[in-house]
Amino acid sequence: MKPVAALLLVFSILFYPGVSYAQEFNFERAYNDYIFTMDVYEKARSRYILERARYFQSRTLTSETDAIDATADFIQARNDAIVVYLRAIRVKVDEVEEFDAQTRARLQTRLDDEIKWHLDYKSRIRSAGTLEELTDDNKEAMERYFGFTEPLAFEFHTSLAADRIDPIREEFSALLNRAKAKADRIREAGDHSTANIERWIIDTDEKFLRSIEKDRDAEDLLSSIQASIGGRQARGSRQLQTMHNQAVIAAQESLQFLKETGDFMREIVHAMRERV
Amino acid sequence: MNEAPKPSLDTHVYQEAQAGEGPALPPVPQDPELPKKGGKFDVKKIASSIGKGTSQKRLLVQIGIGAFVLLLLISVLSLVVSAIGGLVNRENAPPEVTIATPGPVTTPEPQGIKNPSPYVSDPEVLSIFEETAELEQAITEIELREELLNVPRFNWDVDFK
Repeated sequence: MKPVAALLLVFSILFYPGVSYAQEFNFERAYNDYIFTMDVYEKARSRYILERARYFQSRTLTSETDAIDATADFIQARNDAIVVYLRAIRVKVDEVEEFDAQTRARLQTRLDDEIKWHLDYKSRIRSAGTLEELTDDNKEAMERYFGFTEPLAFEFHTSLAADRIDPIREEFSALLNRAKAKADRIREAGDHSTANIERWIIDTDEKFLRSIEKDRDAEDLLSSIQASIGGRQARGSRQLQTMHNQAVIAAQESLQFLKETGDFMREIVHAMRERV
Repeated sequence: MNEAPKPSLDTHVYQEAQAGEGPALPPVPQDPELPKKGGKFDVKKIASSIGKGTSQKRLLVQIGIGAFVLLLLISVLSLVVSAIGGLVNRENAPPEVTIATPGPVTTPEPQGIKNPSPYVSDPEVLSIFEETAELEQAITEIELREELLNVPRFNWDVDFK
């Protein structure tokens, strides 16, 4: 019995933490990792700035060695921070229920590709190379970040703003159709005037259509952000941020019109229940 | 052919008084400042008095201009400061959402049914009402921004060439 018990113990030690880790790797954990890694990055950045200044001041062999060490550390820490940030987004994509299957799959694939690229890149950083080689390594990462990684992050944020309203809009659409069908039946029955009901239905339709228009504005901005991925239509960080903000504003306006649709739906119900 | 203009009543009375026929006229008051005919002018006194007045006036004018320029500078400075402040605020402030939707106004809650229709307790109508309330509640819970995952800014300034 002893060998069996020992075997069970070994198995439980080997597999239990892995299973529990997989179960617990939720957004909260991913976010905590991100905060910790950003802290490490900030420290590496401070050291890099100091060693770089020392190198340019003295240009001795020692200062060069220290500068190489600090620069390689800094580039690696920055890359780690990017990877952990992308992982946090990846977990969020899994958790957000409002994403439709197509959007979720698209974002998951792109995020996985991006994480893979940065992991591969980490192994290519020439920590024992020269300062010139490290400059080239940095340039490679920079081009990737601004060409793919950053636009992808903005795509995630903008998709989130644009897609989170979709399920509620669909429910409103179904509810409005039910109200219209009920109004038709009341008219056919002829036992209650539908003039008021029809007037409120027209107004509700208008609000609902305006909500859709604003949603299209947000979708157009999302398409523009997507077009900048891969450098097809290069945009700066500020421009991407502006487009994202505009998309969020459009989504907020869409939501506001949807809220007004709800107010008008109440009026439809009121007109059905009250005789004029 | 043209007749001479008739003298006015005042002219007529004056002419009569001059001739000693009418009532005596009061004496014409003399300006005390003006020198009498044949008297001597004190040029220096007049010049000095004129000079004094001019310098005081000039001083007053200069003070006035100075105050005006000062006010102008203050107002221009305040405008510049407020403009810069506005720009800074605009950059930092979250984007404004302008929703202007004039149109029919909905009835404020609670809306009672004063004159019930045959559909006042219709299950389908009540179900539409309840579902609308649920959706309205869901709208208030939507978060459009994922603030925790804002896109970070990294330092890319690595150049030793």
